[in-house]
Amino acid sequence: MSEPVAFSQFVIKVHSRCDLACDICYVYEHADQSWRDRSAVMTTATARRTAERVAEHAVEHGLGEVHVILHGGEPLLAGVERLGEILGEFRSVLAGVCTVNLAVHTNGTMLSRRFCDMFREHGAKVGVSLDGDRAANDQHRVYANGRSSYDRVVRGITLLREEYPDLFSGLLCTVDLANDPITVYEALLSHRPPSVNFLLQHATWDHPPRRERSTDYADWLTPVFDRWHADGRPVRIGFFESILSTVRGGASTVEALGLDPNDVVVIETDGEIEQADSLKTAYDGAPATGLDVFTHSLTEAAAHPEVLSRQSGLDGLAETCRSCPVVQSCGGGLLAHRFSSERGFANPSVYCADLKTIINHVGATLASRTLQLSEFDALAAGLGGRKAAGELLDGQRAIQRVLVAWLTRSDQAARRILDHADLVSRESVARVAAHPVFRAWAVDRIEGRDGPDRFPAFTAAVAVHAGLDADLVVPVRNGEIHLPTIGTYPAVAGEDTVAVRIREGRCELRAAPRRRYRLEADDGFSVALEDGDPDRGLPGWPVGGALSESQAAAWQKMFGSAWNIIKDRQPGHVEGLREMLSMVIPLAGPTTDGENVVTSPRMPGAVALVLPADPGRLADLLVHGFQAMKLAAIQDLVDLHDRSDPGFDVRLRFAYVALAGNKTCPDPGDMSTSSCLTPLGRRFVDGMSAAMRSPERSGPGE
Amino acid sequence: MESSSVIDTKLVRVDGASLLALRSDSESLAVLRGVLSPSAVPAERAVRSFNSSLPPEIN
Repeated sequence: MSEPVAFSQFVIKVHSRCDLACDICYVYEHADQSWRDRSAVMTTATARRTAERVAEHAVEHGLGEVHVILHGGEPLLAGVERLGEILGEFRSVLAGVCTVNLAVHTNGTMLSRRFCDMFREHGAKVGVSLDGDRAANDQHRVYANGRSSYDRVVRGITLLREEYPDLFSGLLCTVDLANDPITVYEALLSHRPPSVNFLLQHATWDHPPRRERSTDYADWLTPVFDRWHADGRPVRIGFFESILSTVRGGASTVEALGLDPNDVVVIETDGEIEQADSLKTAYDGAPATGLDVFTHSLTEAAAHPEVLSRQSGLDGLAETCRSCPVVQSCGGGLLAHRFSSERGFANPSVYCADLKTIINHVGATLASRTLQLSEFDALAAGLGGRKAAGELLDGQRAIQRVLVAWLTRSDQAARRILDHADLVSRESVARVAAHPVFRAWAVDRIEGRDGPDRFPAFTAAVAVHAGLDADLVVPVRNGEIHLPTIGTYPAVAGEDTVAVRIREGRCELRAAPRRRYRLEADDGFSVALEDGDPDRGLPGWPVGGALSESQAAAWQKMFGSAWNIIKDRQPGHVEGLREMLSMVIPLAGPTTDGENVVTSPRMPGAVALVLPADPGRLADLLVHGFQAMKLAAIQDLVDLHDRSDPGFDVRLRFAYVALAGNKTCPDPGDMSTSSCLTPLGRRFVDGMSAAMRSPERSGPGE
Repeated sequence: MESSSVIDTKLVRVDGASLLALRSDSESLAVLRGVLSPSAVPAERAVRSFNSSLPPEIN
């Protein structure tokens, strides 16, 4: 028997009747008929006692956050006043105890401004059940006289979306094979919900779902997943997101998937404590515990033998499930779906074949990013052409994209603009995120380090590239604002911020940007010569000020010659440099470590260096910087060593830079016996060593 | 490793995902683990709470 698991999701049955008569409803149409003996509506006193039990449970288990979901039947049948009182009880009793997320799940037919105003007052989110378009919805979701509920539901959803978008949590759709999956998907998305979830109709081995083949439901869900994925997953779909998460060892966000113990408990209108609602489909009385909030704590309910027996994760599953390769994802499926009167819950899900099929499909669709072994070996030998560099760049882009997404978690204004830009021009987001300085400040911000707010300037630059309208307030730095990839604009003296107005992608600023420089080679290759970004220097890098035209001209002259020298003496690096080098940052002098060239994994694509006296030296510095940049990008993709030897990474970097041909260093083979190397790391070091000893390797220069 | 011509990297494919999708799912967590310091990557449990905007599978 497993240890009791604290509940964190509390489903409160505030009304036990419904205005609809859906023929698939597990509350009324399935095995459990306990609704017949329930109080129709929860009293305020019962709600208060329930809230007190939740608070007591939160304190006992140190819960920082709980989810309270008002449900039915149809919860809105309780009326505005009673629902307001019930929500008020939870708000007041739990105030100061923990964070409480209030939600209501409704069929949507009765949603009105009065309800929504009250929900807003209590900060309660609203989810609505809708099965697709009119035809799909009316398969089951009808009134007792057979009349359609569709128009009323859509009216309620429209009210939420248009007037109370802050309350709208999403749509819940029960899958029916009779409906076309893409039509349903498109119908649901037409309401622009923040999230969608799909439910399989509750069924057991005694009463299996209607279907012709064992994978009919997977066959229905698969095109929806494919379309959703092809669309760039424009809305959150809990069922699919949970598969994506669990196939990679993460948690599920839905009860029907994953091995996490179920942490949902149900309180009926009369205060009785019950297990997961879906058990009503198994047999009459299946969810019952015999406990109630007036005489029992929720911790007692968590320790109830029936509850415990259903929370034992892998150990609680049927033998066939325990040895199944997808069990981490399906978790045996929803408990209720495993039931048969012959073997109780010791069965695979009645949807087993469906779950296995859709999980395998999702897993195959989203494989890990891979690297060709031949490219890895070429990189280990110190080179790597366009293809290898392209694979490294792809990895960098993935990191940049995720960093943008995570930055938007805490900035609603930027999120709105960037989500829009992402829809109309994904390239615009990628272009600004590829600016080398982005990763440095993005990581700082996500990790909570203090610093100037770069996000408005980033967002403004994306809006320009995407051709959007946007208004942003950009902090002034050193008397200027810098919009990455766009330019540096002087600010009015004494002002801390500049209001940046962008219309159809045009940046309407009074002042003209100051000149930007690019270093251009004869063959068309060019990189930015960055002297405007205020964050282009990491600690210890003396970046100096803006370049004069004559200084920029000196860089240009030297770069053109240096590039030709690289093409002549180091042709193996040319393609990689073309792909990966995007920025040169002038240094006013050596770094505090005495280096004339420096790169950072935090600034992929950039080499910071002191302008040397001759182009041959610049060629060497660029290639050395490129090597270090490449090694950092490789280590973004694969772990070459663990962190048990703090000095190993420096030795590795030194040896890898030396492979560029113009430095000598101890044989990397000496490193291959280090216990900190991973198997791939050992292969990499062995490859470096072989290349170092190769007679074809160009000898030390200058 | 020797028998395969490809290496599975630390990163997962996020190419097809919108920013909205990447904000929440654990795929993006997997990417961030290689970039951020370990203490800065939220725990899966925290992500689960973040995701719980919809009620559990009811109704």
